[in-house]
Amino acid sequence: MKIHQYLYIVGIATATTTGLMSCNKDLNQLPQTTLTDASYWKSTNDLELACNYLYSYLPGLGGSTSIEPYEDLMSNIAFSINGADQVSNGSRLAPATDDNWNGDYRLIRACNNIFEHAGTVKGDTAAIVQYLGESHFFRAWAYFDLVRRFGDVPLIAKTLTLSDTLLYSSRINREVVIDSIYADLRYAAAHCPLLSSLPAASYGRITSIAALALESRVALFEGTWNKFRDQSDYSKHLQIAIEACNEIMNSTECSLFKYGKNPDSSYYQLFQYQDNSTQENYTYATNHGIILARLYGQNLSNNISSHSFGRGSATDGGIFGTRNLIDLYLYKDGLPNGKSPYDSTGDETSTATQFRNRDPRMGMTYLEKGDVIGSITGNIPYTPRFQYNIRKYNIIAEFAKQTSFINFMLIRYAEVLLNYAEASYELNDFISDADLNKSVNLIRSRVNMPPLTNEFIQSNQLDMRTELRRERTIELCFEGFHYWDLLRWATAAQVLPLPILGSRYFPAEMLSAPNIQFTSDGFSIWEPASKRTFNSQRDYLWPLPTRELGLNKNLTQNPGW
Amino acid sequence: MSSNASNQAWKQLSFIAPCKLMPVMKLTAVLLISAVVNVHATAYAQKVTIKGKDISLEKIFENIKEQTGFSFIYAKEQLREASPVSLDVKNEDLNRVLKECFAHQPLTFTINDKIIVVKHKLFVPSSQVARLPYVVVDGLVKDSATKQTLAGVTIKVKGRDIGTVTDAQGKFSLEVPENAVLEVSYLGYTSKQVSTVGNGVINILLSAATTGLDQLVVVGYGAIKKVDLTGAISTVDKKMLENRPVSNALNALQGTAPGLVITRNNGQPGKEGWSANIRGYSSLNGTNSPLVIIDGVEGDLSSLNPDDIASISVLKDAAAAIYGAKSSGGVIIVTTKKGSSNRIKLSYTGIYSSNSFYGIPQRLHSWQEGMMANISRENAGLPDAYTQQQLNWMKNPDSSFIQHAQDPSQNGYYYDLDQTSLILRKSTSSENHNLSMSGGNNETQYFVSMGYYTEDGIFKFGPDGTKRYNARLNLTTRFNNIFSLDSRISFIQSETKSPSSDVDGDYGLLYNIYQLRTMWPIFLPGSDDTKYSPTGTGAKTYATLKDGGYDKSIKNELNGIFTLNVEHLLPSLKFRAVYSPRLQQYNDDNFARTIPLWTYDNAGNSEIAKYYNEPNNVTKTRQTVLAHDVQLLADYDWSVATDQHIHFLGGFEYQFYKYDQVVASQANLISNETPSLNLQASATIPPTVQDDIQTNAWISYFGRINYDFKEKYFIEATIRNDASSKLAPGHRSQTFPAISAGWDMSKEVWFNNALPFVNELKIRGSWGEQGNAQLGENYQNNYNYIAVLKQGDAYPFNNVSNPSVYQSELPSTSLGWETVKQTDGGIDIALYNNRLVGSLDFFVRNNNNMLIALNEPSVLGVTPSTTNAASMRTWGWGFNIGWRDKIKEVGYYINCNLADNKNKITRYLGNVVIEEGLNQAVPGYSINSIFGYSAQGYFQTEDDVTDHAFQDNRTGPGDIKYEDVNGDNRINQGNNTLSNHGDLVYLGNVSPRYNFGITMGLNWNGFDFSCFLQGTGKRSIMLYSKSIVPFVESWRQPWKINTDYWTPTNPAARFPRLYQGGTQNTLVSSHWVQNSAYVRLKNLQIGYTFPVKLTERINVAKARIFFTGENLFTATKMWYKYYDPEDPNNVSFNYPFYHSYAVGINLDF
Repeated sequence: MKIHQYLYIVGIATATTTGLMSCNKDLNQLPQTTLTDASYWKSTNDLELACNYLYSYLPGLGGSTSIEPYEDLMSNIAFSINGADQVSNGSRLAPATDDNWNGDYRLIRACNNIFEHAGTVKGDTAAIVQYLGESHFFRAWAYFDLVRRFGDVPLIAKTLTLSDTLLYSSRINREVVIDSIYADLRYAAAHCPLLSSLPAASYGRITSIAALALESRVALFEGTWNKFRDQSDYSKHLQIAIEACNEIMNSTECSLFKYGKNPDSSYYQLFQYQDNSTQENYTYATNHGIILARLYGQNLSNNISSHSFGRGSATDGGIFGTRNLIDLYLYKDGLPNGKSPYDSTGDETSTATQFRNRDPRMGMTYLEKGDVIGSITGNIPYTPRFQYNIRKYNIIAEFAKQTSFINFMLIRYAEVLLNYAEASYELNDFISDADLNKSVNLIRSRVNMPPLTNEFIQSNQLDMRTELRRERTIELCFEGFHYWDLLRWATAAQVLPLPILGSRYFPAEMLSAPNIQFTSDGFSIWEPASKRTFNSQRDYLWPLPTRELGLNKNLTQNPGW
Repeated sequence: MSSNASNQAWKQLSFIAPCKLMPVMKLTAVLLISAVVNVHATAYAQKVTIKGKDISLEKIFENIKEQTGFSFIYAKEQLREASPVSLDVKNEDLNRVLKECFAHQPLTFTINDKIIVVKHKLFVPSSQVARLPYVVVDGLVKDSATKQTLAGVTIKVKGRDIGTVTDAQGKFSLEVPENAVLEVSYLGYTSKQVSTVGNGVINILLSAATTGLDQLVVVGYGAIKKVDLTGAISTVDKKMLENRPVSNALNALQGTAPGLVITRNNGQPGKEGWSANIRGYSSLNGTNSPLVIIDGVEGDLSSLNPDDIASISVLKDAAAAIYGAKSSGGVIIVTTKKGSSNRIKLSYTGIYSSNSFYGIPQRLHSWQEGMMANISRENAGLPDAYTQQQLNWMKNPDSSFIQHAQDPSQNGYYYDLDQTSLILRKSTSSENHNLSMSGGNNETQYFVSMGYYTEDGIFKFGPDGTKRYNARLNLTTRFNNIFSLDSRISFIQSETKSPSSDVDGDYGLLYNIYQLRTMWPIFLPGSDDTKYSPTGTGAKTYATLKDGGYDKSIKNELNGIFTLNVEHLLPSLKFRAVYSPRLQQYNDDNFARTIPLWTYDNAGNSEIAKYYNEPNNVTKTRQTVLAHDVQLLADYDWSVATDQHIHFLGGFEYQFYKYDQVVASQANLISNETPSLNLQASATIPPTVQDDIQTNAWISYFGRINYDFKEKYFIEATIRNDASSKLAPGHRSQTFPAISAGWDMSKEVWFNNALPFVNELKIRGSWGEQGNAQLGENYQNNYNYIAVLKQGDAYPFNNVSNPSVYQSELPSTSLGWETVKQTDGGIDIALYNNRLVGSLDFFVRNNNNMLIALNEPSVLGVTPSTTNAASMRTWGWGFNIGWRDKIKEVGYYINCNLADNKNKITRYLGNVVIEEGLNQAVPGYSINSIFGYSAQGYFQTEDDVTDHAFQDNRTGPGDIKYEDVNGDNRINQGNNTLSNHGDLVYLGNVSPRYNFGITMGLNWNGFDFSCFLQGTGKRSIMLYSKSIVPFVESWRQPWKINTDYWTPTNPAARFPRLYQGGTQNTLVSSHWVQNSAYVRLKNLQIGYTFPVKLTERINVAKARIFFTGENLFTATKMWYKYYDPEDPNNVSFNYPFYHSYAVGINLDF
């Protein structure tokens, strides 16, 4: 071989060796644009961002995780132009998967994850415990949703790994789960700020008031659930509910919303923007009646999140009121159908007669003939239909845009007052006029309805429980309460099998008669009784998703499913 | 000979291209020549020393060149006519040596400034030709190997219109001019030119074409002779890729090799989503796509000009194991064309194609939709949607827009407007132009190509189409007898324009015109088609296309592969060093332009009701991918004995990949015409910006040994070790071994004696381990072992976007690669002078540590990580068989391939779940199996319903009846376990079975014909549940096919009764699952090549015109005709596919 050949060989060998040695270190590649557990969980800001995620689980007015108003479709007071709800008419089958089940446990894990990582966070202790308080609130929120649906459920208090036996946990008695909810909410109430001390930039975050209000909701649910199933320890829960309500009512944090320009329309304005032209939502500064709301973005330009409740649901009838609900509205003398001299049920001659002399909330909840609505050809006067289209959360100006930013009130002060009244009554089967005056009658007076007293009940042979329930149903309709109320009151078995009725037919006011059946007294039938059942041995609890039963042999199905 | 002919001859012999060439070509040629000349600018002696017997002229030229530095210019074909020369000269004058060499040749030479130009002796003035006397030549043509006579061989006199064909005994007799050259050609054999000297009998030996067993087949990191192969490797004839009106190479590969399946997602130009699969699925993870190696390094077939491809090998078995962790999906190895030390060849191919779309649903009149809507609502117990008056308004064009002064609730639109014909065109066009030039000399060879492709989409207006430009230079340079450099540089740019919002899918632009009501107008009545109407999203497609902005994406890819070859440094040892940078740049600009929608106010004045795309917004994506690949390879040949050879390959490879993306968007621009990020309207709404960086690195060592004994017995063994940053520390490295062996029985004497017509009969077997590291695309799953946090939705506290983070997935702390063990057995066969060739393979693949995302109880609260906890087996077979021959003047060929594979989950550690619909993994079943209900026709009467198991409380006559399989009187899914899945039954799976391709062709007298059929024998797909029946949601309208719905008088209808929200009929059931088996005439081509004597007058060596068509005919077992059998499973409102009719031209200069 010649000398240059040796040189070539040496050159190649050197280049090769250098090349090989220089690339071994490249086998360590780390994420550069993603947060890792190892680098996170240091500051209170980290904790805040982790808590912000929990808020995405709050239900609202639209979107996949937001179902709250639509939950009324499961009762008999609301129906949909798109057809019957399978929970309401008793036709559902046990599903393979359940978004509520999955979503609640995802939320629970996110909370548990925060608790487990908070230890490494350095910073202002008040801020740290506030965020821990928020996480406790959300864990309670998730467990309450699970209990009211499924009853006993697995209780998971830490983040699980694939080797955790708790993955195959059996269902824990609801009493135990409810107790853990109380504990979480008390932590939240103790560590979250008051509504009034929340800075404007933080409006919408969890407050101690929200925690107490949720506690009253949970306790009332559990207390009445137990009471109407002959269980003796209901009083404990009702007392908890009363105490929680008292704490809120005795504070100066909340008051019922009054619309300054026209107090008589307060109930309608409560579900509208503070100013329809600027699409400004109410905040604590302008409305002390809101305890917790699901927030949406500002406008199309600042569209952080939005929904389209107004058009498809309110105007088009994706959710509308039934005659079953209309019949619940009192007349202006405080007396119901059949008792009031104003009762026009038998001789309705036009759609207008239905609204005449009624509780003003009726006209503020439903569209009447001539009310302005949006349509594909512009704003037009409303023409009555067989359904009672609703005005709550329906913003006329947003019809065409199909995009709405109106916030949804998840907890408002009126509910606390109603919780207080009901818990007080159910605890002793009696409620004093004083208690009525500081709760239900505040709500009635806002809409200029006569006060409810024990004397009024007696003199008109009314039933206090019925009137309290009526008040709750009327005030909170289309806010997702009624189906759950029917379950805890154990009245679903009587109410849900009844036919779903709409309006009478008034040819002069309505479009020509569509193909629809009518009752003997002329009401349109949206769903006949023959298609509706409620199996009281089965339907008070939801079916566990069958996939979960397959995955976890320790889970048992609810009876009848 | 005419002067034209002499021009032609001169051109063949010259490097200096005629002036008719494009200036740029000429310049390139000159530059290349000067580069060559510079290398040899040293002075050499003009004396030569050569000794040897029967040396070919080519060898002599090489020798002379080395000794003197003189270059030769000649065409390779010329030398075929030359006979070898015996020489014994020492320090002889060059001129004399050359004279001696050319003494008895049909060739002569001239020396011109150190360049020796070889010319044909027939190159004489035409006046002399006429005087040449005619003689009779008799001949006999035989196969050079078997010495059997060949019948039907074409004999032509070069440059003249004289010819004949050999008879059954292989004999011919022809009257020719004295000293003529005969062109002898026969299908499947290399053509030959033979000089005649006087009259008399000549014997002509033809050897089988190199498309036979001596052909080199490209394998991992090298090439071996086809005859030496021990693996299951298919090669794709590059003819399958030529002259097709297709956009990319994957498209053209469909059906060309057994076991190779090519699929696409839709027909949108530039967004077709082509993908390849070899031998079915062997994993639940990743794409199962083969690794694509282009010129030795990882590449992307969809960004390669099909015209640049010289060869394609498909490695199906453990032969792919040399690629280790990325090889479990098989490997497709593509080699691009390179130049040859030959005359300049310039080729042009142009294709113009007319594409007509199919599968567009036929709409109904608005009143028909309305009547059906009423029926569907009545059946659902709901009031009618339309009154009779409203339906009448729809029928009458004069009442399309109703404005009731007295009753505004009656206001509305009652049109009858099928938007599909307004917006979609019936046909569109595409064009394909390719220009290539190749040439070179012994030191430098080059191949240059440029291509242009353009295709328009289905929309009559608006942005919809794609363009591709590509250029390539493949240059091989030999510096001395040790170093040579192979450089391949390619650039490709694809530019795709599409509408600013999605075309496909539910709620896409096609959905709007396919499913929304035809009673809605596009424009506000009375606005002279200037103002869009706000009805639902009825006008959205029209408005978005016309005024809604655009999405413009540009993909640039610059690719270089530089291979330094080192040989003759050490005996029998060759080195290769490869460096390949690959730079991809992807820019996407999406501009959603605000469009006002108009309505009338109560006073009858038009006003803006709302806007589409409010606020307007622009999103710009900038993505850069840089990949480096460095390889060091050594090849060593060792002849153990004269009949035993060993070849060693050893290699090292380093790969690094970096993906870097920035996405910026700005909403609410102050201008609706200038989409710039700078033009924000309000400081409170700043632009949003995100970035994403992904990196991975690989270090690999590998080796291969090939051993052959007497070219009868073959053994190959490979091993590769891969280490990757994608895996957790401690699990990063894995070794993949493989071995294969073959025995060519036909080489045994006893066999050859018994069956002499068998040219090859090889039995092969292989076993190897391959890895699946293709867990998604390269840019995904780089850090799966690290616990990461994701950003969730922002929450609007105080109307400010507050970010959120959460844990979305568990980290996979002991992530390891899936290892797929594959065993293959096969036979290769060639008979009757290689006229019949075929191969057959059986294989089994076992993925024994497949990654699965375990089914965990939802109380886990997070997506579980994947763990190596399942196994699956894939097994199947495939064969191809081809025949080529000639009957008299007509040459023909036919090739068929057919392959099938099945797979099964054999082990599954997690919880088994069976659900209605597609099930990824159920033990004992194929992956992606469909489970659903067994349909038993329709309920005909109320009694039918009550007698049957409970299905749904909506169930009534006209609904689909499902079989109560478990007899529990309830139609349900049990608890979704393997032991109790209620009434769900297995309804097939979505993997295509029995994939086949048939190509055939013939040529005669300048005409050629070929056709290509491709298809699938069995495949089940589900249809999108919201479009299989109308009114699943009230706004989803029926199509013409839906008019065949159940009524008491139409009890055997295609579709169940109309029912608004009728999801009881859209459950996955045997009623809807389609068998998408099909056979499709994929390509048909008829061409005519003009006679050379005509074309050479205009300096064209070859001119061919052709007609070609794609997807011309389809037969399918699917009855739901709106879908195409090639559609993906469960697709909704897909961009339609099209048939193509194209004309094209090939020109060679």
